[in-house]
Amino acid sequence: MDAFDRELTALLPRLRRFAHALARSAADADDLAQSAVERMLRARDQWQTGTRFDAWAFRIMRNLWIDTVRASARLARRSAPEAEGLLVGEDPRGQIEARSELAALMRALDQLPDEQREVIALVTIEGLGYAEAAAVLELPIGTVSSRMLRGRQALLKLLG
Amino acid sequence: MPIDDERLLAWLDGGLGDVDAAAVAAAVAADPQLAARAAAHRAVADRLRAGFDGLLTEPVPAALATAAGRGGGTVTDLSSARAARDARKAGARRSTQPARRFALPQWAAIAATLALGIVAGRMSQDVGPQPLIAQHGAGLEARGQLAAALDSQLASAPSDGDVRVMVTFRAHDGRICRSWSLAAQSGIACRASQRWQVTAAVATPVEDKSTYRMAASGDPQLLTLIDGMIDGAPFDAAQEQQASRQGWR
Repeated sequence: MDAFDRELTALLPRLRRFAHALARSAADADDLAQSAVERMLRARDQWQTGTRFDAWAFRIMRNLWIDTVRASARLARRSAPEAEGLLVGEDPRGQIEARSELAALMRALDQLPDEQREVIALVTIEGLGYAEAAAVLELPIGTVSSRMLRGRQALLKLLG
Repeated sequence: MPIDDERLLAWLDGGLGDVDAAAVAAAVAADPQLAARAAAHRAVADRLRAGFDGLLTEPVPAALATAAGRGGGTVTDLSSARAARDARKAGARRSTQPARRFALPQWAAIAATLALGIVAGRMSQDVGPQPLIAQHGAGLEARGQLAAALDSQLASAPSDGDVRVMVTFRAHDGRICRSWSLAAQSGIACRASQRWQVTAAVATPVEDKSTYRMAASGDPQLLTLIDGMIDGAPFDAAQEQQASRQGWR
C-alpha cells in the first residue's frame, strides 16, 4: 500500500462530505464520490507525493461535478424535489434529526448558483483557505472572495 | 476604514493576515452592528459545518470503499460495486417519479442489492437493544456488546457471540487497537482512557454476509487501514492474553 492509497483511504469521509456539499441529493453525492474516486485512481500518476492530496482530490471531484452531475441536476430540478423521508430512510444509525438537518442544509445550498456553492463547500465546509480554494478552482483569489460574500449573504437569508 | 462584509467574512474564515485581522477584530469590538453581522455569519457557518460533519462519522458505504480499495490491489470485487452503483442509479431515476417514490418493492430491491449504511445500522440493532457505537466527545466509542467483546474476547479463542474480534495490534501512536466484525459491519477500535474509540467502521457488503465468519482476516478495506496503522506484527495469542490482563494498555 503506497502513499496514494493511504491518502485516498484516509480522505474518503471528507470526499463524501464534499460530495454532499456539491450534489443535490444524498444518492447523487455517493455516486459523485464513487465516480470521482475511480477518476482519481486512473489519474493517480498525476499526484505528486508531498503535495496536498486533498486539494488534488477536491479538484478532480469538482471538475467531475461540473462535467456531469451538475448537468443532470439541472434536469432533475424540473421534477419533484426529493422527499425528506427518503434521506431519513438512508440513515445508518437512526440519526433522523441529523439527517433532516443535513437535508435542509443541502436544500439551502441548492438555492445558490454553482459558482457560489463550490466556494462555500471548499472554504466553509471543508475548511480550505481562500488561496487554497482559489488554486483548486483555478480562479483569482478576489473572485473567490466575492463569490464567498454573495453566497454567504444568500445563506444568511435562507438559514439565518 | 469601514469594514465591508467581504473583509468581515475573510476575517471570520481566517483568511486575513495578522495585521488585517487585528484591525477587523478591533472594528467588530467597537461596533455592535458589525458584531451582530459577524455573529450572524458565524452562526450560519457553524450550522453548515455541524450539519455536514455528521458525514465524517458515518461508515463509508461499501461500494465507495471497494472502489477506493481497488487502487491498492486489496479488493478485487469491483464488478459488484459497479453493479451496486448502477442499481442505485436506476433506483434514483425511478425515485424521481413521484408516484413511485415510496414503492416498497423498489426499496427492497435496492436494499437487497446494495451495501448501504442502513444495512449496517439495522443489523447492529438486531444483535442487541443497546447501540453498539455511540458518539463520545468528538469521536465514536464502542458500547454494549461491542465494548464487552473488545474488553474480554480473545481473537485466539473466538466466541459464539455476535461480535467477533479478529486482529489485535499496537498502533504507531502506542495504543492497542483491535479489529472487530459484526453481521453487517466491521471496524477498528483503539483503547484510550478506559474506552474503546472506534476509529473506523465499514459496512460489510451484503453479498458477503453469509460468509463473513469464514473470512478470518476480515474486510479488505480494514486490512488496508490496519496496514497503515500497525507498528510491527499483530499480537500472537500470548501477547493478546498479556495485553488483556493489563487492561489493553
